[in-house]
Amino acid sequence: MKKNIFCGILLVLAAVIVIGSVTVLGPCIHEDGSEAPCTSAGRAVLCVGCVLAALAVLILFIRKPSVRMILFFSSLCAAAAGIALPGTIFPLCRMDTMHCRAVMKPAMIILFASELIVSVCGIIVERNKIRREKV
Amino acid sequence: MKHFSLMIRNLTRRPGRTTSLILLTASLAMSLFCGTIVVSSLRRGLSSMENRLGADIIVVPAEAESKASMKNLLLQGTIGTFYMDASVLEKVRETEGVERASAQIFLSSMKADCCSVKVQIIGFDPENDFVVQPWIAESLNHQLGNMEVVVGCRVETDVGNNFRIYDRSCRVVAKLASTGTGLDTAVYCNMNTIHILLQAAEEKGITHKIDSGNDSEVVSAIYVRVLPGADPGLVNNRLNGRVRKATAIRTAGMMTEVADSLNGVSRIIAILICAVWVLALIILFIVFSMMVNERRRELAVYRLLGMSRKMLSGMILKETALCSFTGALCGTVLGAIIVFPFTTLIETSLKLPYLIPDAGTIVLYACFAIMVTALVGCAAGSRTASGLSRVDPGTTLREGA
Amino acid sequence: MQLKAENISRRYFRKHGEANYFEAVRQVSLTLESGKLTVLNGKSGSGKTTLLNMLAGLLNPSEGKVFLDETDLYALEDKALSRMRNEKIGVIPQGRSAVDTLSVYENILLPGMLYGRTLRTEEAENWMEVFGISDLRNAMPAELSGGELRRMAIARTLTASPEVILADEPTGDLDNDNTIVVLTALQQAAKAGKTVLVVSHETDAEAYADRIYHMNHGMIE
Repeated sequence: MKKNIFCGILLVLAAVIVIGSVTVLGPCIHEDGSEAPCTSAGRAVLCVGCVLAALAVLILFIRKPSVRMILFFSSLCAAAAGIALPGTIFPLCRMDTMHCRAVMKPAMIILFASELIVSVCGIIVERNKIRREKV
Repeated sequence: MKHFSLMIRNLTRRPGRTTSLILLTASLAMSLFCGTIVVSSLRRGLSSMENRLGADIIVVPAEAESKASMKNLLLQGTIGTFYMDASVLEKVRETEGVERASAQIFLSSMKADCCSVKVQIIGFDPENDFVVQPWIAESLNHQLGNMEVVVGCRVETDVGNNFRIYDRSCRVVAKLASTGTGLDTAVYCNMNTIHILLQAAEEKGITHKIDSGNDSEVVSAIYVRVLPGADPGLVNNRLNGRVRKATAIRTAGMMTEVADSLNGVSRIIAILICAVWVLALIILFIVFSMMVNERRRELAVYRLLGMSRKMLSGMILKETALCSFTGALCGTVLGAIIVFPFTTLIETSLKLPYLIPDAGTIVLYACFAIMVTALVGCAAGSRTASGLSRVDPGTTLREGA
Repeated sequence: MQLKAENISRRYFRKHGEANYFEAVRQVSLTLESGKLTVLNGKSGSGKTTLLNMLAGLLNPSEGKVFLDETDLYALEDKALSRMRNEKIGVIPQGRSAVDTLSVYENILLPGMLYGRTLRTEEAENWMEVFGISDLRNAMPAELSGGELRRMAIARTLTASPEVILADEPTGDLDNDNTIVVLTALQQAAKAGKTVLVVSHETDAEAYADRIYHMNHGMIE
């Protein structure tokens, strides 16, 4: 239970990112159905969210601390990329009051930053396990 | 700190109890901090709006929706495009009690132009204006030239960039500071520029309800400052009687309406904060009461081994203080994570002027939330500390022997 | 160090027969000499533990005084009495007396930790070895049996090495072998000059005693 708490949190956060990016935390939707400038950012966030979810599931089933540590590290890198997605790597709409800037960007940055912090905690725990095994 | 290692062990080896104390105090701090920031931001927004209006009276076209459009434009940045004959300006200037009058012309851009949505374009006369000009002067040290624009802080563009409106290229020469009002999403230009853009809009087949057929003879709103000592209400009535096809609105009345809405929202926030505090304090007292029974035996051992009552109550108080302070800090940080990144969302949801305080004030509010919460947490635990320090080791350790 | 009780009594205010109070200890005078192991036995409810608690400075007598050498224990304020208890009087209570948030090793060193003294780690290791609980040094009290907890409490008192040792039913949860180990250790402490009192309703301790008192209905016979 204790060892899975971090990957459990990672999975929950990734699920929120995936579901959020296609619902309330997603890009702007134009009334006429045309693509908004932020649509590609939304898609990118969804992809990274799916990657994070897959990594979390893998961590859940793998027992070897060294492999888990690598997976947590991958999660950290994906989360770091996720932070840079909305607004930096992918453009957003050009008005601050638009949904992508008011809701999607801050929410996704907070979620990806949380993923990053949890990944760091996971790396520390697995590294300590490896050290104890060596002793 | 004496017995620090003992304290830390006591806290870390009872994670459930420690976490619940921290979560409770975090919720107290978070509600207090968030509530304070939101109410403070609303008040700052209202004050900012009052400062930015600058005029005592605004004259708009007589249609009922013009008045509502004007208010929505100021509060939420909703696009307003309404027009009246330019001759109204002279009539306003000639009215008794009027010190100054300055006109503005409104236009909306196309969605695809520049900003993903339509943008409010406001043309003003730099020679006569007393509403926008002082505000623009804070960011621009020369008079606005032709095909130059100044943008509100919410428009995502930088100074020096080109801004396309109806296929006409305008240069961004300044970006205004935040006002917390709907004017943050507007674009400002001089009268020559707005007339060029009106013409360009006509060429694209986009009409702007111009009845006279000649756009140089229309204005959207006239801002009026009354003479010192004159009664704005009286001047307002005179204007309404004198000027046909136009309505004069007192800005004081508009501000009163906004202030009433703001007070309503503040009251709701205060009630919510009280509800969270009452609930959390009740739970806190219950947790501390449960702690009395749970820790009686442990503390009896400390007394048995020679810890004085003062040392014991001191240790318990320090544990409580540490939990309370940690919870207060976490709660304030969480509150900041909620309230600052989502400033725009809060503003658009409340539909009121909203201007977050400066960094120094925010730090002050944060310190206030942390100190008050930590003190309340300690106060809640002090009764428990006092009671527990009086535990009778002889009797307690014998129970369940 | 000499521990002396002069006409001490302890009353509890509750209905007892026709009286409104119950006298757990009645007019007891007792002197515990250093270098001697004293055993106090008697049936359950005879007042032995109440008397021990009053001798240890844990329970204020309704009447009488308790002296540690020339110091009237109950004339001291709480701070001074607590410090004296930590430095000079070691109590092995009847019940469970472990701090659950500390490991066995930390519990044994606890008396020294309270006043920032140098921790007697060597003595702690030695006593853990003697009582067969070295393997449990990092275990938490919740993981220990009653007998292991009792041995931990005894090791804690002996590690602190106070001048006066007051043990209430020290062999209560122990098997024969451990009973011998504990009583031998207490006897050796007495021979080393400590003042040792063992309160017990069993007869095992009498074989190690220099003096035996019998308590009945709150009085020493």
